[in-house]
Amino acid sequence: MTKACYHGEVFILSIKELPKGLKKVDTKNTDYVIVGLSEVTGNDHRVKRNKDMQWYEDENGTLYLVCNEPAEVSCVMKERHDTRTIPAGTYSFGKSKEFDPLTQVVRDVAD
Amino acid sequence: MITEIKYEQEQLLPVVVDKWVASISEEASLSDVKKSVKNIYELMNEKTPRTVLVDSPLQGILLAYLLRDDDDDNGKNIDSTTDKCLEETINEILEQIKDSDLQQKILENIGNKGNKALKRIYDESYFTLWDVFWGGYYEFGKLIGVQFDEEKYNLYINYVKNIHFIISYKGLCIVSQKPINISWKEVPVELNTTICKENIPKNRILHNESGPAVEYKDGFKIYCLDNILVPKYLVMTPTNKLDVNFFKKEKGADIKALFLKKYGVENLVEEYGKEIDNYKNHKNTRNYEWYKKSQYTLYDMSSLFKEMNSGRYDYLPYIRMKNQTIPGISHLECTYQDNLDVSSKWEKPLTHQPKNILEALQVRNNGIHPEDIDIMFIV
Repeated sequence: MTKACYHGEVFILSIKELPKGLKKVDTKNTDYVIVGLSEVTGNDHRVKRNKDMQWYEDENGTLYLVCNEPAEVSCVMKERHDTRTIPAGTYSFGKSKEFDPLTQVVRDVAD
Repeated sequence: MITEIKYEQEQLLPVVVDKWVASISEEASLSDVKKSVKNIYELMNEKTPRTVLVDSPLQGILLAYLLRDDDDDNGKNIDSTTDKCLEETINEILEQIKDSDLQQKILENIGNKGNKALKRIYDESYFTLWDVFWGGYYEFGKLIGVQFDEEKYNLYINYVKNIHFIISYKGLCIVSQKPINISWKEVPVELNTTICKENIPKNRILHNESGPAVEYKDGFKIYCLDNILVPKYLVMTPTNKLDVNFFKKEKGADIKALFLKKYGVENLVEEYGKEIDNYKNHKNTRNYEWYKKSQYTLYDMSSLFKEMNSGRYDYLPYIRMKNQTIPGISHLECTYQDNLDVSSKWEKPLTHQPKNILEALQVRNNGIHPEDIDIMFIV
């Protein structure tokens, strides 16, 4: 059974293998990789980087992670969402979707 | 090498933290600000710039904006224009933007054209406020005997103490004075630590339910609830005068949640919602315990948009969920599926609007049915 978790509006899905056509992402100079950018409050969702992680991105900007060690997921403002650890594995990081009846557009849930 | 911290040293932790928190609103003198700017520029091998001390970060940003050439839409050349601008020009502009009413008039007239330049100036500015934590951290280190390069230590500590907000150009450095008032709320702190409970410093967030959380001398104000930047309207409007149109138009999930907290999510769903389904109807599901923790409930909120409906939404499903981290906070998100052609091709097809919490979550998950996953956590 596929494992998944919700860190605020970020939907983290454990996947068996990476999809084709991904682009590798260089994260060498960062302590954290932002997996859910906060458009409104600056409270980005992020994963603490370690040297064993490999990050990829698809054409839609969805991030994928391959990690051989557990990874810590947190927010800049820790009191908004608890920090949690995901086990070693391969993951995709999506954003929950919401329909806006005023503009009649489906958008990512904004934080 | 220091391998442990004694109890008497631990007792200094809250003292140092409280001191640095208080320093955020202690006025800095112009001479101290100029000295800190001089030291920092020297460290970067740059000549000492003119230093202007303004009353607020907004005043500083507007000063930089108004000093630029008229045709500099992107703000790329502000470095060179500020290098040659006259003292009189700076003083004239400061007169134009000396209080928040004048600032608002200028902001209203800027329009889209100037926004790029404003954004660039903002991106190139820096709130030294973030370094106040490090100032306290290093000072505590010094108190317990950590050895520092004295010159660099003093330079850093004085910089953090005196410089609240800075926009630095080659010939001109704009520094904002600190706020005159800051409003904090204490929140519990959970630490995995050996430090004795009585010595753990207070954890504070910006919060004020009856006024600005941060206020500057020129009247510039910042409103925050639970550390979230919010519009003035949400703080200053009495609960019984709040307009649900605010909730309808607001895009930020946290701000909407704060609106719901003040308005009362029970009031909103009672007034406008019709309950369709809730977690209690799904006791035999794989993830029932998670649905129960989040208290997922599905409402039809179509009457909330009745006046602009034009018959489009005779059913508008919203899922309500409890925030698992912050007590008293609920979120209400619209799970209307606007393209049933797309959802009918999902692995578990959805050919109608969500009629239960599982289908609503499937829409929220962009097609992945919640019973097809093992939920590890929801926070």
